[in-house]
Amino acid sequence: MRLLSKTNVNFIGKQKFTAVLSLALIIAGLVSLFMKGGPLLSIDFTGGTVAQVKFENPVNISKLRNQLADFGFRGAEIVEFGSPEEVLIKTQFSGSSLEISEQLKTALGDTFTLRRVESVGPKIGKELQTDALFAIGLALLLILIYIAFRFDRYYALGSVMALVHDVSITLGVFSLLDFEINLSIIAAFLTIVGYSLNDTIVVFDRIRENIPNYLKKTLDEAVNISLNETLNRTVITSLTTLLVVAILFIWGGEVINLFAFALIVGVMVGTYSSIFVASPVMVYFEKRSKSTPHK
Amino acid sequence: MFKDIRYRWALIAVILLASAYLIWPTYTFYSLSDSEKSDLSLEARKELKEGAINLGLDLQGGMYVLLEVEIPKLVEKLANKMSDELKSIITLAEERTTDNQTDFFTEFLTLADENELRLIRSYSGLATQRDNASVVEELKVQRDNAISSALEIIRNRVDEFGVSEPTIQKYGANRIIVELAGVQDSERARKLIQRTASLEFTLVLNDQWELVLNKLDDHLKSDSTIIPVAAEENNTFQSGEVDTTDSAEDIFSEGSILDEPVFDQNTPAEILKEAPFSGYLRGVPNGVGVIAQEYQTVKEILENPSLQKVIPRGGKFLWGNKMETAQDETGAFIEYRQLYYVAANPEISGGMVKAPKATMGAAGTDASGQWVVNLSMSPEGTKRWSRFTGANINKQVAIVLDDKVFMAPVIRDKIPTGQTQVTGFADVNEAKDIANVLRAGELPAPVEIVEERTVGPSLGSDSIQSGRKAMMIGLLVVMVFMIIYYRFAGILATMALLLNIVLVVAVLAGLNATLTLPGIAGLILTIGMAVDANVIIFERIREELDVGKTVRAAIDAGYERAFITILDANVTTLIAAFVLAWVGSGPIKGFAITLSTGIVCSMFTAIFVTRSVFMYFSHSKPIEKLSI
Repeated sequence: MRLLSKTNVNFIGKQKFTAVLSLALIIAGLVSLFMKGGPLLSIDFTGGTVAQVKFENPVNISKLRNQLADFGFRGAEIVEFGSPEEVLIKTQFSGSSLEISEQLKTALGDTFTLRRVESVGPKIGKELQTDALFAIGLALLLILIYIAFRFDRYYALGSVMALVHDVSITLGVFSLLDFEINLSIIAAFLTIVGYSLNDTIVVFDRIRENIPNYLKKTLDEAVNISLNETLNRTVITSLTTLLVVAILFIWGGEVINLFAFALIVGVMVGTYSSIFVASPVMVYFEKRSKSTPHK
Repeated sequence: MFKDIRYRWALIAVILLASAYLIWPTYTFYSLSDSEKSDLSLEARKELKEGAINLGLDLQGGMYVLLEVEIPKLVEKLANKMSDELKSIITLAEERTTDNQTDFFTEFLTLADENELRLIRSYSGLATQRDNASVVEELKVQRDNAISSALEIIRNRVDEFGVSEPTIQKYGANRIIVELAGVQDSERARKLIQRTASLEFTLVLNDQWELVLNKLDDHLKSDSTIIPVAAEENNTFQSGEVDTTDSAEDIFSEGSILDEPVFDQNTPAEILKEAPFSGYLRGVPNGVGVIAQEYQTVKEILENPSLQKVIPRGGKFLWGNKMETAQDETGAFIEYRQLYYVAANPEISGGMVKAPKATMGAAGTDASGQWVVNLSMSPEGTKRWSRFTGANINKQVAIVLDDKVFMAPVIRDKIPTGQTQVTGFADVNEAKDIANVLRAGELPAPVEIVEERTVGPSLGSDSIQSGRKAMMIGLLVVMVFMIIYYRFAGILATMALLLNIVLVVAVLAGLNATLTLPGIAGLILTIGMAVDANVIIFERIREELDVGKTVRAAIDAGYERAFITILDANVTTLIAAFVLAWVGSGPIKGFAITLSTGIVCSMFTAIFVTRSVFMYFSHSKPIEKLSI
């Protein structure tokens, strides 16, 4: 069985269209980020308390909000979480989860169970922010070095552009949908980086292998042939990966829902970028270096 | 050597056997019921637990707390002369530390130098050298002491939760991580961790044992409702003679009950009939103790309110700070908890103890060459201590922190000056631990909870359920897809996938890793990504077949050429995973570990194992057509 029989798509020729598409997606995300004053950060990074509370009966959220407001939970954010009986209550850091649960008890009686409480001090939040940025920066840098070493710097530029593309679009999607960025989303971002790169490298590897075989053809043509040759593999691997992350999204439980969602977006964008971003960027820089006399 | 297929099978067999060996403890541990587990001997249980994969707090429920010793407060407290200038510098340094995420002491020193503040004026008692840098160095030593002391206090208290393996570790220069698996009452845990420590010296009333035990036994015989029901059921009769005449006096006769072969067994019912309380007590190397299995029962009896009234007003029972072990005459290790009967009113309280320090005993003294702890007393403490020690020579005094006895040294002589030396430590660590305990009284470290994550047990088991479900469905879908798409080769790929999961679990068990919810997600992601190596290889083989190569040549070429691609592609994912494992903590680290293990194992299963099977089929007889 074959998904795609021998294809001959001129991928590089479509770069004007795809560049516009990518830019449009990135800009949409950036505009959303700008208007909302940066990404929506979870308490992991801002400090605060979040309590996952399960009630015996379905919850009337607006009623609950009023009830809690009377007990000093003003400004608390309450959202349904997974099932109608379960809610997530987010408040600014109050210094003690003990207080939260005691206040909840006075406000609501013993009709609920506390399933999860996380509270992070503002200082720790700031540190976790630094750590997360450091982790992403470090990963990108190491990858850049590795590819520059294994291939050359133009390939490295192409792949890192693709990664930046993937992470910014995923970040944009999160901002557009008002989804929070928490620690596990950062882990998802790094996974997307690794995955997208995995895809890109399979293509690059083929280009590197093909260039000596197609000396009479232009770089564009050689890259196109390579992209077409690896297309089956790209599609199938993306498909199996997408299948499992979709399953994780549906059945993996509420706690890792957003994490799985980030991966779904990332795998799709990552597959796209390995074909339509990494290779064209590499070709662009490679050509530019050849046209200038000092190389 | 791997051209010969027999070597390949041998290697695969060895790896499979090793995996089975590594997975065995995990399998056994999680298939035993709780009661079966408690039937195991202590060592067996520990061994099994150590070999098994642990569940993270997010899966089994529990509490994670990050504590921070508030250094600015500590530095304030340490000053023996407070000036406005010093105060403002401390506040400013604290602000800068938060803003720039720098070290407090660096900022503090810079500010002091800039303002030409001579720190020695405020910390004259601390440093021997007079320059600011030396004073700050000395403050750092004090910080380290405060952390060690806080660690000791928390370790001592956490014990109250009966958490089997609490994690209490230093994190960075001034933080402590506390992980309590299975703790449901996070409020209680929180209160306990933040409570101020209380250190006391109190007299051990060894001469009143008999009196109090007789009272308790009589009371229990008259009121049988006090004895916990579980205690009755637990009694099992052991082979060998049972001495039914054991009573309060007998515990102390003939030194130690360690001679009895039934030491490690529960106390027989006949003994308890005669001596419902004292029957539980055994003579242990340094006094009286209760075996580990009966500790909870005895604890419950002692905490009973009606029994509490029978205990004479001047005395109280205190437990030792931890389980101890001793060898009985058969050489088996026995775990026990020491029980003390001490004066209800302590003689010395924490604030009176000054400058405890673990050091080597001075040459020429009795303690020469041994580790000792020296301490001094405040003026008030010195007076009391002198009178108390003078009156109680050759009696024991218990060093009590938060109602747990850490040691009970014998008073050798009257101590008029407050300068006290405690001896009898086995090694430097014991001495340092006691010094830290003593420090808890002198300088309560200002500790603050800066991060807390609590997961209820119901959420944890829900997470396991959904994780397991997602994994099963994911596995099934990918397997079906691969078989439909690649037919025979697809079957190989699914075999490789299953093997991959076995290997990942084995490696995790071997590393004694902790499985977290993101870890399960990483495992599920691995299922999707691990088949990639096979996809690359199979697509390559198809291409080679299309060019008109023979089956055997196409297979060889496919594997040869795909290998380098797979390697390059996986190394990059590994880089991302390693960064995550390094920077991330807890659950995130769990994710990074399972993902990277999965990738590495997939290289073996997808390349080596599938190729071996191909070789087996293509080398035994020439194949015309390949089902791929």
